[in-house]
Amino acid sequence: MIRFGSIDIFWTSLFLLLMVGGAFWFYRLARRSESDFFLAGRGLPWWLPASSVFSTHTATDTPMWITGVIYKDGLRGLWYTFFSAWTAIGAFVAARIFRRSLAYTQAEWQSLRFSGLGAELLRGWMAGWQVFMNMFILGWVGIAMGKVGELVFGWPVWVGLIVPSLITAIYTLAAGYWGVVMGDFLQGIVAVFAILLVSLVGVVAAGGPGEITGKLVELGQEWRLDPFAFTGVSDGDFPMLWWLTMLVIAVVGGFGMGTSIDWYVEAQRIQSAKTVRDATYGLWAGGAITLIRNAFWAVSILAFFVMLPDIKDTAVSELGWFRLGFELLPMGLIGVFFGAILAIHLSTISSHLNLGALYFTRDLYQRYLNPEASEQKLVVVGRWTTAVLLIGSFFYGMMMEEITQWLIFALWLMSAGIWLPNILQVVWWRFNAWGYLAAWMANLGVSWLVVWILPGFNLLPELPDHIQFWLLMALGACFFLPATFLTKPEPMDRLVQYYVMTRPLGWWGPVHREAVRRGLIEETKKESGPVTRSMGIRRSWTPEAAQEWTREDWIAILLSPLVYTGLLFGLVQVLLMQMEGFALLGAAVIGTLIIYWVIDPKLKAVSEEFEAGQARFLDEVEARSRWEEA
Amino acid sequence: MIPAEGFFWSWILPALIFGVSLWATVALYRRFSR
Repeated sequence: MIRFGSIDIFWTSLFLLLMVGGAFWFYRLARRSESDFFLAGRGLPWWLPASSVFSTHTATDTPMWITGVIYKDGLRGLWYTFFSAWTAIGAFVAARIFRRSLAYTQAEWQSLRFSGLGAELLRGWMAGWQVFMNMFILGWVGIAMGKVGELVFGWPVWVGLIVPSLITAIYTLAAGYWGVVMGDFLQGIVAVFAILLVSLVGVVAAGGPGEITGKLVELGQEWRLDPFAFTGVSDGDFPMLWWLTMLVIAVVGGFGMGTSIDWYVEAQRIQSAKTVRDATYGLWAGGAITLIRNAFWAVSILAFFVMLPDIKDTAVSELGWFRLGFELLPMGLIGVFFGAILAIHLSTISSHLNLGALYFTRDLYQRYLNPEASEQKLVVVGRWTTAVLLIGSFFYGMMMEEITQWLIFALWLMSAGIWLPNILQVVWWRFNAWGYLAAWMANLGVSWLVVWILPGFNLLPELPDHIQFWLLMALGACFFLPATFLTKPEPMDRLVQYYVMTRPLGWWGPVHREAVRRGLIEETKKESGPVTRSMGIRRSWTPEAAQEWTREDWIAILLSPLVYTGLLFGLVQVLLMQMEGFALLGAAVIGTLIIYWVIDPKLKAVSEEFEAGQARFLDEVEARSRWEEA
Repeated sequence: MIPAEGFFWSWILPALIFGVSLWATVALYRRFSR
């Protein structure tokens, strides 16, 4: 139980009313069509998807698990949060390709990239899996909120699980994705204020940055200030091999789709952006704000550590950041703080409700049950599905204690054995639906064996996660590579259609040559006219040249992960008043400006060119979703 | 409890944060409902 006065109740209620009412008001826009209810009519400027990426990925359990790892591991624990850095490269590669595909969901993308029975099996499997996955996630974050309510107010757990979700359902049912992004923006404002305030209050209460670092040295804990405090190459709880594997998964994963569990959520934000350029900047900025958030959290948790260094139980230590807010803020601001906790919870619940409903409505109902459904009918189905998902999530939440181990296994499955095929499907023309299906099937069997069965019979030692990852990748390849080469490539008609529309990166030579031969795209080698360059960077683009992948793209791709790292650790050092932090953070800001200067003219040209053809492409995609093959 | 220790922080600052959020709500609605 904590201090929570009438002034706090006043502020919490006022913020809750604004967040729910403000989002609800957009119902007038959502009821117009399917694309309004699920994509806000593909009309959003980059800062709305960006705030939605940030708000959706800040849930009630996020400050708990991040506090847990920083309390235990010090600043090296920040690398556990670096999996979200897939957006560094994803913004410049996967986001551009996905936005151009015009697919509502990753499941729909499967049926644009592949064709025939294999593609439909993939689409149905992925849609069904995602409907359940979103229900799981709703139950997971719902039960976390239930525990916070129990801690703060002594409410029974079911209150925090059910009541905030019902409040969220008010605007998610009415206003669909319009309500989700507008709610996310308002909730993002409140959350940012709260995160800044509580973190700074924590640092001040501990005596300031100098006192924190001094105390750590005094306690003999200065290793906690070193993000590279490895316990060895392959042994201990923080081996260098784990770190390298994490970097590969996170950074290289940006070339694929589905390499991070977050991809399925972000794909909706990417597709809702107004142009290709807005999609790229939205995803990049959303990822950057998330890392900046982690820097503020990390420093304030170090402050919590020096004030209470002897907590052994993770269940207690992971509440550290919440305690900074509830125990150190003045009356009134505690109410704002609880409003912010509700805000980050509502934004996560609303996004997953709408996304689960999207997979059912677009990929199952419209595709297989009623291809001729009217726009109004699809909005109605979207609303009903939202309600069913909500009720399903309550059941999952109540049995979450029993299924947590299964859930973590399921999540791990989706990120390990399927990671490489998720990249290959984007960058390699020859990879086909049967290869990708084989990868999923093999993955289910192989990870079952490697993670549980073989160690259970002592036929294989229990391997650490980072070794499992490489083993699962190699074993999976033994299945999906033969399956790919023993079956035919996707039909050239489909590949050319997909290629012209999305212009993917990677090994697409045969398809490119076929598209040129059919006169669908121009061969860029014969470009005429002058090209202006500045310092070797091209400043003016013809629409056709901008669609090729060039030096400018690679500069952005290579600089981007470095900028992310600099933003995160530079800011941590600045907040701890370490001088080298100012240099690192400054370099990261300059790097951001360089990326913008290099890539912006090109993204503008790509966006203008694509917008000119988007109406025609949309007609093709919609005709295909009604089984009228274009 | 963590071993560590006015009107502005209890009323003025929350009101400012609320004001920014309210202004953002109105601005968003006016921009997108045209």
